[in-house]
Amino acid sequence: MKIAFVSESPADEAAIKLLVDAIVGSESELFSFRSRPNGWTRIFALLPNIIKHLHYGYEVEGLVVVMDSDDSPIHDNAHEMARAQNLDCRLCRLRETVQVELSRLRPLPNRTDLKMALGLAVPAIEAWYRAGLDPHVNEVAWNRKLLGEDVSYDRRSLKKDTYGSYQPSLGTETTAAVAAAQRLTENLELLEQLFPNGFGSLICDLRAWNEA
Amino acid sequence: MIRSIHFQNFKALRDATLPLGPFTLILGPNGSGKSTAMQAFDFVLDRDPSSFSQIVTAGLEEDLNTSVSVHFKWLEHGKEWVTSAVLQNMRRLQQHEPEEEGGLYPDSLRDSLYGFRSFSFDAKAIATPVQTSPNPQLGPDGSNLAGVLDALRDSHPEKFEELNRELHRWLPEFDRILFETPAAGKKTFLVRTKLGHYSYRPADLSQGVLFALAFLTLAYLPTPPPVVCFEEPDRGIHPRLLIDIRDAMYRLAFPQNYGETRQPVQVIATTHSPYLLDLYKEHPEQIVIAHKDEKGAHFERLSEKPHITELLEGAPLGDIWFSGILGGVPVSP
Repeated sequence: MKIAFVSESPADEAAIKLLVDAIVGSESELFSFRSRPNGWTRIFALLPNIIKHLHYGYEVEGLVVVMDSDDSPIHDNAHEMARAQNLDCRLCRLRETVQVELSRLRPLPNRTDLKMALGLAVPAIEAWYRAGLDPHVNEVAWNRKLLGEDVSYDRRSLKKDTYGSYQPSLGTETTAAVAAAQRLTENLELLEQLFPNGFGSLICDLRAWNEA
Repeated sequence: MIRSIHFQNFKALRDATLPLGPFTLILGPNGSGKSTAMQAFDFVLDRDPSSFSQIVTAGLEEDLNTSVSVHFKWLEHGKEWVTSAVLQNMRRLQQHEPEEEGGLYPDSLRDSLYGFRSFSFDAKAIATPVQTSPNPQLGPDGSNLAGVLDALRDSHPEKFEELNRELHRWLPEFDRILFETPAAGKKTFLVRTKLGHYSYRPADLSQGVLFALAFLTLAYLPTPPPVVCFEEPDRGIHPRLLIDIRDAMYRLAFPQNYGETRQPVQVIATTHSPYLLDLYKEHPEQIVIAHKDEKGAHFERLSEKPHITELLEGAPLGDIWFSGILGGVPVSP
């Protein structure tokens, strides 16, 4: 299956590919799209162009986008209600952006609908990599932090704990990200349990691909 | 004007056509043939001392039937012409011919080929004092800038004054170019500050200031080279100044738009800068993407990409290119 990934770094891309392959159950052929570093706003700006490119290029079946939430609100079930989406929530905004763009595409003969899978790493993808290693890292804990409580980690410490450095090289990041993703492919349920909204959205979308 | 250059078995360019216009900005990953394409001029003029095995596409060195060829296609006096060079192992064939019968090979084509200059500026070369003897030619690395400026001041003082005004607009802290003789038989330029009228020697100026001055000088020459290439014109330049660098290149390519009466210069530039690329969103016909894949390097004019208008909506062109939508980016391992 040909799948396009949108990410901010090659390290994230390598890890997300492993997770996606484990969920979908087959090895994907990777098409890589990058935003410029620290570019979550750029991802929103670029996503319509990427969707158009994939639709009119008709060689890729699915698109996976995973974004860090940073300090933005965490997605929750209340956002799923009709007209209750929160556009400060990056997952809601991703879904809105995708929905608007998909509705604008001109249908093409022999072109099946592009499959989409969207995830939100709370607060950063390193939190996913710490799943199973640090019991304090999860969406509930981060939500408490957003509400002003003290929790045992922040985005900076997640980097240090994951890579052993606040300024890891790309090579170090990739090695650690791939190792973590390989470990987590054996326990996707844990990831879903700890990150029910951000990772839950991704796994739910990907399972729907299989059902389709 | 050169319409295109076709390459066969020329280094990384196994079978590629580079489309060109009055102004062309080429972007692509490292090793995608951007700089190689500019070596075509020396190859066609037989000024490249490389042996067959150094020029032929890697892996074809032992094939006795392989030939390396470069074909320039020109549009001149309303007619298409082809200038070719073919190197078949040790044997070299050179041809200049009109594509249609009955035309004369115009001198302007020969002048363009011989007059081609490729610039990749080097701060140390620009800053080095030059001989006092007149030499109005700017070196490929920007050497002899002092000589060119001096000649411009003497032969076209009005252009020199325009250049000073433009320098001040680009870099408001400076207001004038001066000259001095640092040693017998040598000359150099100085750049004067607006406040306090302090004069800085080139060696004390930043790389970006020296590169900007070299660009400006070329743009204000009364008779610039007929075809020029700028390798990474954004190098060392602050992103806010890139619009002025673009305009300097446009002044060369579209002189009539800038009140100039001289002949247009055909400008080719290469870049990796999304910031520079952002400035060309309205002109996809001026952008050529160099792709590198398993079939070798090849070129594609951005305006000829399918659905390009829709693909360029919304986001900045530099971001769209960086994302990989347009190609011309390094591939993932």
